Order: sequence, then structure tokens, then C-alpha cells
Amino acid sequence: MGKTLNVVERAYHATLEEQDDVALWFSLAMKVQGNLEQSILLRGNAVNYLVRGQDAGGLRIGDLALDPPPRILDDLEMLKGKGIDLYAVEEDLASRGVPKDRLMSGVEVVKKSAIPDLFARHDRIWYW
Amino acid sequence: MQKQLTLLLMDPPYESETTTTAFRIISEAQKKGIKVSVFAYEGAVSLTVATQKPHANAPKGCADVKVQNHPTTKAWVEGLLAQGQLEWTYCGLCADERGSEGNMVAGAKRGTPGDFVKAAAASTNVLVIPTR
Repeated sequence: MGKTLNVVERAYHATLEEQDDVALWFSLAMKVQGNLEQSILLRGNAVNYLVRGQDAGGLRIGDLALDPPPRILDDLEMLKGKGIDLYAVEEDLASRGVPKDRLMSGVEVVKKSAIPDLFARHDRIWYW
Repeated sequence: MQKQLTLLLMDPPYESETTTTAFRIISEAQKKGIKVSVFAYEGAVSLTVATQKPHANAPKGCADVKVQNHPTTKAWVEGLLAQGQLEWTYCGLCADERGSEGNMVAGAKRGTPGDFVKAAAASTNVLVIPTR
């Protein structure tokens, strides 16, 4: 089937209700249950998923606590641990004021101009 | 005179952060003694579908549904209703077209946009949270 690049742009949508990001979760499930060879390119607001020190804990609605909360960074570490390469768009980090030294390790930051080459190294591009 | 807040919600469960934010607003309003009316419109009628089930998370290595402790929006709404001072009305036509009529949690009431107007007229403030 070749290698797929998942481009994840929409971020923090239902991460609390789902306890994770649905696109990243689906990538993990495709790896675990379908052994899909893939990479993930985070762009737009999704680049913020890479920032260390995020904490969504403590949410309580009425008497119900959200426990465990989403831990997106741990999920990205899990994906990386399963051999999934992670990329992030440099300009999207810069426009949001996210310094590179606050990112999790092992992420390749790419310029927008390099994205066509990244596409060319994959057989399928799926946009989330 | 008791303050009253009316919210109109449109997003379906498990699709956006706005609904969770609305739940937080409702919870905080209740703590302050503010009466809250919710009108669930379009996809938001599914927030109170009674047969929602929590699940485990096998791809992430959690096979125990209790450990995963996955939230459901219907449980959150039930919890909010249990706090009192909350009226939850869902759009009946929206529930009909989604096949969810007759499958709602106790306390969620079928209604019409007219119910929203009545609640809005009686409210100190109204917050419409549409789908984006």
C-alpha cells in the first residue's frame, strides 16, 4: 500500500470529550490494527500539540471529573515510538509564537516550501 | 429576582470543544445559583441520547472500560440535571430526523424553537453557540 502522510490541521476539537485527538487516534489505530506505514504532518493550530508541559487535567462538570484527561503529547510520543515520523510546519509555529525549544524531541520542523518534497516521499496524502 | 441564563447549542457530541465549554459554563452558573435553560438544536440533540456507551481504548493499550473512564455527554448532562436549576430542551424535529426520539435521558424534554423564545425572554442573558 505504500506510505501515507496524514496532514493534521484541525486541533483541539473534542479532545476533552474523546480524551485524545481523533485524527491522531485514528493514525494510531491504523498502525496497531492495520500496520499502516505512515507519517504525520502537523500544521495550523495542530502544531501546538507538540508543546511540552500541556495539562488538561482537573476538568469537572457537575460531580463528574474527567479522569484521565487527554494527553496529546503522550499520544504523539506513542506514535513516534511505533515508527511514525512527525513533522511540523515552521511558519505555523512561528506565527503562533511557539519557540522550537518548547517542542517535544524528535520532531522534524519543515518549511512550507519543503512540503511538496514531503508529499513526493509519500504514496498517499490524507488531510484531516 | 433569580438570574437566568439561556444557551442554545448546535454541535453534536464528540465533535468540538464548544460543547464542553458550554457544560463548564452551565456548571459554574449552577454553583452561583443561576437558573439555566438549554435548547439543544440540530446535532446537539444527540448530546442526550440515552444509549451512549463509554468504551475502552485498545489501540492505546487500555482494554478496561473502567480504567479508560471515557466520558459520555449524556452522563455529563445527567450530572448537570442532578445539580438542579437546569432545564434541558431538545428540538423535537431535529430528534425525529436523527431517529433519536424516544432514546433520550430522563429530564431532557422535547420542545420547539418557541420554547427557546420563551426561555430567552425570561433570561438575564442568552448565549448562542452555533456550529462552525
